[in-house]
Amino acid sequence: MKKINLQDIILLVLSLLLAFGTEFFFHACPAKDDGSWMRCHWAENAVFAIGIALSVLTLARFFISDQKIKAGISFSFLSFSLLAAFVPGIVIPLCMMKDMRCHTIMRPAVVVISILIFIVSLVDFIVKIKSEKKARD
Amino acid sequence: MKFSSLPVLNILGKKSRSASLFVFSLILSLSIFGGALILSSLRTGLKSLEMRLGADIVVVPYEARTKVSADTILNQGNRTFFYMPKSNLDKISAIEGVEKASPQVYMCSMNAGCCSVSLQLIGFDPESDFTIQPWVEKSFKGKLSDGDILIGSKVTLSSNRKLKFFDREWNIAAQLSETGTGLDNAVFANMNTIHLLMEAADKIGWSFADKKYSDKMISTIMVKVMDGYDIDNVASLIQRKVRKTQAVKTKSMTSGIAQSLSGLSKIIAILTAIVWFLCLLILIVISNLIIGERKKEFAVLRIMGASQKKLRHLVMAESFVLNTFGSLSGIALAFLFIVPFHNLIKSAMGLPFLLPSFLWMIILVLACLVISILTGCASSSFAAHKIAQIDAGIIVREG
Repeated sequence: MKKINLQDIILLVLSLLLAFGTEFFFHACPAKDDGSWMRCHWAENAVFAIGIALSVLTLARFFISDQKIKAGISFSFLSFSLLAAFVPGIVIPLCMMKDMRCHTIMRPAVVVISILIFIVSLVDFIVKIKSEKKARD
Repeated sequence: MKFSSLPVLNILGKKSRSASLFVFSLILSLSIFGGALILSSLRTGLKSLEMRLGADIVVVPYEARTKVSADTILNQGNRTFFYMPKSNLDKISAIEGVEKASPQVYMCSMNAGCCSVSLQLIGFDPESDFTIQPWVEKSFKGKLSDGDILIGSKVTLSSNRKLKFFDREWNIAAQLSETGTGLDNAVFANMNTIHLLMEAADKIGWSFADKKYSDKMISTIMVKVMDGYDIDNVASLIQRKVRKTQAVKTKSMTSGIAQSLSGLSKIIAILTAIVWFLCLLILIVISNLIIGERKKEFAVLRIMGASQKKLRHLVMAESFVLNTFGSLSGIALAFLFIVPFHNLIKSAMGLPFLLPSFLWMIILVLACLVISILTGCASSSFAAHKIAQIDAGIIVREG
């Protein structure tokens, strides 16, 4: 395992929070009385899948020493985090009333975590590109 | 290397020292801006609630008197229905001191589409209405046709601009602006549409009122009292002259909320002041400790020819840069947690909560930024003054 920096740890924590937090803590509306799911449930599942993909990519970064590849992964995080932020409510519509759990808890939590992932990966991407340039010079 | 670039190089050179000042500056601005934004949202919410009530008196059937309070109708959303004869409207209009009287009809849906939530449906008379119309005009200028509905800001607008109630689709004419109250969860329509909704409900076996009398029934009458008349007197006159009704004064409906809000505002203001004071103290202590550690560095700069004024400027410039970044981060963090979660904060507080306008938010950001940067710089000014007094010779001799 290569040297682990602070950004890697923060990204892993945020990715895991996005996946498992959405599934267990700030999940979407519960099932209806008849057992069927409201449409926000599918948004929750999509965010969980994105969170897992991000966690796997972050773990992969721990074993990679090439700064260029790490920067590439950071760049992919930018689009993944934007996708995660847009899934609830835009890509997959949520429930009808904006005072329901999926609107008041799940969507804001996903948006906040996605913004944090975006900021951290953007900083990491810039740092990696700069250090790569320095090494080349 | 220029002397002007020294503050930034010092900040970057001693990361842990800079981080500690940055964190306290962040906490300071987070608490000031967070507190100010919450207080401002509560005040905007109460103002919006009072504006939406609009009437001086709300007349309801006597048996519905417990169902009509600011908390049930305006904060949680009513989702109920009750009726009285429409003839009460003429009786009330004829009472001395009544300037305007407008009827409203309440009913509620079973559920609206996918999500098992019932909605409050409110029918109003656009000709006589003086409470809903001013709010509607902000988002919808045209004439509300029969079959058209207006939805509150918390009802999601579907792509086909239609909502299904009682097995029939209704055309959404507009979505109303947010009020921060339960009215955001309601659907509004003119009286004809409400009667069409009642008919549609009746067809699927959901009766709100006897079909024969449905167009002769109303739920509430909003009353505006003429200037110069006492609201209490008019309310008791209504109750005496119109039997089986209850005249509820809107001032009494909002007074409870205003009291809770005032109490909560005081607690938030006191907590913000305590955090501000503690952060100021901690920043003063940290700045002094850091300056104590850096005596040798400043002594060397003095020997190299830096004047006392330049040293003071160096300390203040470092403090300014750190506090500006700390304050901006604190404000951004407060934004990130309060704005997306404002619906959750509203339901947790149980009070009308409406985020202030964009312009007001900009003013709040600038005010909080100035306060927290000034606080941070003031905490460093003692240290800056102290460092300017050092005797470089003694410090260098002491080693």
